Amino acid sequence: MDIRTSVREFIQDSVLPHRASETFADSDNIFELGFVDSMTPLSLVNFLEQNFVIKVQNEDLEIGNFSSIDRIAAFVESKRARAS
Amino acid sequence: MRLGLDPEQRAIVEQARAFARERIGPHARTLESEGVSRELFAELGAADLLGANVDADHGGHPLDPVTWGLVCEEISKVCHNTRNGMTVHAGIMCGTLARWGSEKQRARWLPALSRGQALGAFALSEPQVGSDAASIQTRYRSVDGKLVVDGHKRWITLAAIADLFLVPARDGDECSVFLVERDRPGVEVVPMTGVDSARGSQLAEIHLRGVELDESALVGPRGRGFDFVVATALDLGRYNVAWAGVSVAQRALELMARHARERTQFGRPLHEHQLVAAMIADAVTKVHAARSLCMHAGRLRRAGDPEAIIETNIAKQFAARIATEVVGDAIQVHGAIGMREELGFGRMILDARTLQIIEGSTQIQQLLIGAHGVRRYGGDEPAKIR
Repeated sequence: MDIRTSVREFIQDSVLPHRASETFADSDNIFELGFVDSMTPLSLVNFLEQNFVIKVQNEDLEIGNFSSIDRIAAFVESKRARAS
Repeated sequence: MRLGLDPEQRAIVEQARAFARERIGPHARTLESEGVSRELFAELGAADLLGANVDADHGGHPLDPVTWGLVCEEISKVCHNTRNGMTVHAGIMCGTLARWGSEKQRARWLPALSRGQALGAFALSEPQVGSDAASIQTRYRSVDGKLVVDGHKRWITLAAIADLFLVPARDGDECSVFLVERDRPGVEVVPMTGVDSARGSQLAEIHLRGVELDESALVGPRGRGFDFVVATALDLGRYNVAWAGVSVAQRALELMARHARERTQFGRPLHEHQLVAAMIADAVTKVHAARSLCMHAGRLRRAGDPEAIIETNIAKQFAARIATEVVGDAIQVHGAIGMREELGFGRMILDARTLQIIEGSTQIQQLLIGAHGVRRYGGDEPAKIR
């Protein structure tokens, strides 16, 4: 499964209410949709670390890295590129 | 209840149990009246019971989350106050600093924290802010290249004897978390008195008046305190509190079952009366269910699974609630005998109620779990089995 599909599945399961996922675009800002709770960012970090075998560091904690499927995919790709 | 522990896990839990029984249990009443001490935490550190959430490179003795939970349960069985201190010190402070602290902060503090030679506390609650933690009123501002913090924290466990505080503060809409030393100018710690529960947990208020810090005091990036650092701290705390709920409930069950076996009424032992047997059966079921939820959350945490967060919420909410229920039923089975001070039910019921308040009240957990439930189970298709 590619990064975008995998992230979308996670967000659909863990963040978005039913139906909202049908109109949710890869460029939409997750945090502006009003569905995230206080634990969502941390949950997302844990998902990325487990699923893509990356380590999210202090300096990565820019909310922009996690704001949309597009941004998350770019972030994961950059972490992988730096690790290789 | 069989937990499927490996020999190493079992040995660590046995060690914690022996320490709890020999070094803490006999002094639990004194600790309740006089408070947990720095000496006790130095002993816990020397016994390798404080570095569970710290890697060995920083002086820790890392434990997998399941073993760590069971260790906390053993401590909690003999002393709620010591477990309270361990939750904030070894769970929240050490775990959060290990996860999001700078390398300089980790190298400076984690070895001493793991040995119990320095003590840490989590300064989140304020006089006007409890469950609505995002509305904290403690402020920071930039002044001549410094970050200056002003505010007032309350209900801070272990703060009366701690050296170091994890302090969330706001600047407008952004929240940052600071590592603040007790001896820094502008910090005043005032022990809290007149509380019924957690009397021995060294609760204190912290006044922060023009406390000057630089960027190196930030834990995590500036402005990202709530999203990542406070969330991590609360998650670590909730996991410990869940195990504390199991501990209180199991202790009450043990007292209930023993009394039901020994006490005779109407010519038969109490447990042969069906309504008493029903209370015991319900208590056993609740304790097993709570422990299973904690074990499940622990295994997910060990795997780094993102579901670990919501499963920890579920475990905390359930274990804290059933602790209150089981203690209540245990008192009922004892009748008037349950009022005797030496049985400790009065303290247990307060402890159990406290678990429903701290690290996110039962109602806050229900909001989070309810939203999760609608997402997970409210679809047009049956929920996936994972």
